[in-house]
Amino acid sequence: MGLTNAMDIASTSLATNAGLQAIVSRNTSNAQSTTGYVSTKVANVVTSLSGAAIILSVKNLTDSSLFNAMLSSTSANGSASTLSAGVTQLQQTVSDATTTTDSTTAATSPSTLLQALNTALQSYSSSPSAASAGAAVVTAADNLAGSLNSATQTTQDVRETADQNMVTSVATINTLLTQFQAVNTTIVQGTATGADITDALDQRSTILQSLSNEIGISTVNNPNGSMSIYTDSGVTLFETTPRTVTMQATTAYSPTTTGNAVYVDGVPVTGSSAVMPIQSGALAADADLRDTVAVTYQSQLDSIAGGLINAFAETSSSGNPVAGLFSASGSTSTISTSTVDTGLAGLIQVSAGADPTQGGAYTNILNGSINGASQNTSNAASYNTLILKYISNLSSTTAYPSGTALSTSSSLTSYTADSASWLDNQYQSASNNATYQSTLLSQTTQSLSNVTGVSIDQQMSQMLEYENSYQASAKLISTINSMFSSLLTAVSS
Amino acid sequence: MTVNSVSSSTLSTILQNAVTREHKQLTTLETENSTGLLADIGLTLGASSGQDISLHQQYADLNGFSASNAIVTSQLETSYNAATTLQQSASTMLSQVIEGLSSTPSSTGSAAIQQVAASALQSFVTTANSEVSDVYVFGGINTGIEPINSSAASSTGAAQTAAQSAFSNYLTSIGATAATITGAQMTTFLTSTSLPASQSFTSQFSGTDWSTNWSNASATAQTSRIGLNDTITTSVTTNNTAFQSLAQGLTMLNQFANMNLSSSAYTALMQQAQSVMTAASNDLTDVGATIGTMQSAVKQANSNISLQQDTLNTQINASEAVNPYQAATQLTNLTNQLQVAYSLTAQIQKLSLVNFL
Repeated sequence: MGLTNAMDIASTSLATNAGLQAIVSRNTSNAQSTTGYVSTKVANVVTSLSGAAIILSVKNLTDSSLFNAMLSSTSANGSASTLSAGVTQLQQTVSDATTTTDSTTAATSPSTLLQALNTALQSYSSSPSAASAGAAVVTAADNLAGSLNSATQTTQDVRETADQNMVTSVATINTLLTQFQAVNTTIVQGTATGADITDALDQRSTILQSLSNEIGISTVNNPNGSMSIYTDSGVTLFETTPRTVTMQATTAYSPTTTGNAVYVDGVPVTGSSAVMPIQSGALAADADLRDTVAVTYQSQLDSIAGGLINAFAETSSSGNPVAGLFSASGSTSTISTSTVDTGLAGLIQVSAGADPTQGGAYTNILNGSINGASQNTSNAASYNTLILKYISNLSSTTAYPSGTALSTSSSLTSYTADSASWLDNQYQSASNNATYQSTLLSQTTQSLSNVTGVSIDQQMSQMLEYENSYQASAKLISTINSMFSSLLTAVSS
Repeated sequence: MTVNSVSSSTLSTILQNAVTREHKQLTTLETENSTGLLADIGLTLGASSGQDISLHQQYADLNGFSASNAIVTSQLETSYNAATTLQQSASTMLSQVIEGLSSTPSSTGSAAIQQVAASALQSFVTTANSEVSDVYVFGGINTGIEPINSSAASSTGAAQTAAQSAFSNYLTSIGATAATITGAQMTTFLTSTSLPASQSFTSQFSGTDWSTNWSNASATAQTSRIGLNDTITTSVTTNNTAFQSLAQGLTMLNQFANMNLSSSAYTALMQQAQSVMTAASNDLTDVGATIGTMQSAVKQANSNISLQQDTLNTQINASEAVNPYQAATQLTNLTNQLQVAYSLTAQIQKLSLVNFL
């Protein structure tokens, strides 16, 4: 060991210190990074053959179990918040169901407007000869039909929006997978050459986080540093190369439209044909909303419309039931009680025969002669038998189609209340789940951040350490220098 | 790194999250405080909102009765008043008849009775045709047409001419005149139900003749739904025997009292008139009682409705209302919490090793 050797070690130490300072700078500059996932970099400092401390490699702090928990939590949060947003929109159609109204209030929910119609009928039954009471019935009936029409519109809008979101989501997934390939290649090469790949790893984690928001994923690390991605149902999304995710957009939705499935690598992952359906992520929630929740609600609306047409059915001259006050556009037939007449709620309207502005008369409601044969044989002005029958029809139990998530035997009044209740239940659970998942995500993110993230205080104290070390090395150099000087002076003298 | 480490980003976001959450709660609590109701009933009640919706439906259903029962009440009131008026008119007429019984036919006395009967008949027609907002209360479901023909009291109307021609046909058949008809013959004419149709007086006040000459009322009485499961008959029609008897009695006196009858025929007329008018008066009292029963049923239904509404209201409030004290306390707590969060944020921002280097 000579002085030259000591000088070498001290100057290497200076370089090492500068390298460590650089790491501190990198860490602190990213400490508050909000754009993505950033982990703390730590230097692997070893003693070289010459005895000097050198930076062998730079690693980042990782915790794969917390990271995976964060990924799945992101997926769950993605689906919960998406579902909640969609259901909230649907729930607007019944938001005023929990109010008492009369026929003059501007309400929107079918259950409230059905009640308004019931009230109008009650008034009409006690003053059948009053045209104003008849007009009130037609207005209430118009409002109710309008409410079912607009609820159908809202439901289909929700489906259309979900479809658009899915298309956007699929595009995002494809972009992310392409980006992922580039980063993954860098990591594989860096791993082979031993280069500093920490930033690439951070970038890869950020991409994974974005990806997991769209679709539930699971990841597998390969020995060469590359990573494979699978959907939470097991379909390959990325393995050396990205797999294509495709979905055909549907631009216009009607109740009878079926949305197209999402295909990953040629395998359907949403819809009824999916053998490996995805479980979480915004994509899964949008598919659920588009193909299940909104469709179920639509079938309930259609059943309400069917129940309504049947409750006001009249009798034709040949004794068969025909549609009365309410009818599906252009049809006078009554509705099946065993199967859902899809889209009926969008077509239901007040029959022209009941509306004087369309050539009808209020007395047709009394007499049962909107589309049927008059039951008021003596043409009495206060014939209210049919009105009383309609009132009792609204509250008496009848059969409803199955497959609507509601009871198949109910009264129309209860059925509308049950439908609103079903939607409120979806709304409540989606909203609660969204709140829960969002809290869970922020907790998982925090735990992960605490373990792998940057603490500025810690970095600062390290910086002080490095500063001292730098000073000591510099002092060493200057001391060795003065020793050399004394030696050379002694030699020269 | 140790288990206890906290990253800088956690330190700054943890309060951000708390403040965001508390702001959301704050808006909810503000709404609840100002309205006294849950901010989002559907969200809070979820699946049990169906129960709440049913309560509202029942409440609205009962509300509907307040308007319709008011109409029924006013119709019944009019009917009752009309029945009372008719009953009074019947008893006034009856006292005239009793007076007439004790006197012999004289030009002045008989004419007086005939005139009283004529005007009573006129008011009978008017009263029986009582209406409330275009609804004839004694018409059954046929409320659009006057239940008693407006010409029924007129001497040229179908009802009166039918009575005149029956009498003259009868006189012809027995070969007598008004002045020579005996008391027994008069009694037969006024009471017999076996005379031929053209001579029959009694048959004009029932069945087809009544419907043809007098009444337009429907055979079906009006029915009203006055409570959830309470549909009752809410009218008396002019086809009721009370109206028929009254018309019969008044027509009798109007047509035959001032005909210069013999003393015995006059007495027979007065006796028959007394018996018919007594029956009419009694029947009208019954009609009044029937209407009174209907009125009390409606009244009973109304008070039931308001009781049920009170109960429903309590139930609705139980599921929708928030305890104002609780809401206010929560609001205060939340405001305090927010203040703490704000001051903590400021404190934590100050707390950095950088500041001490």
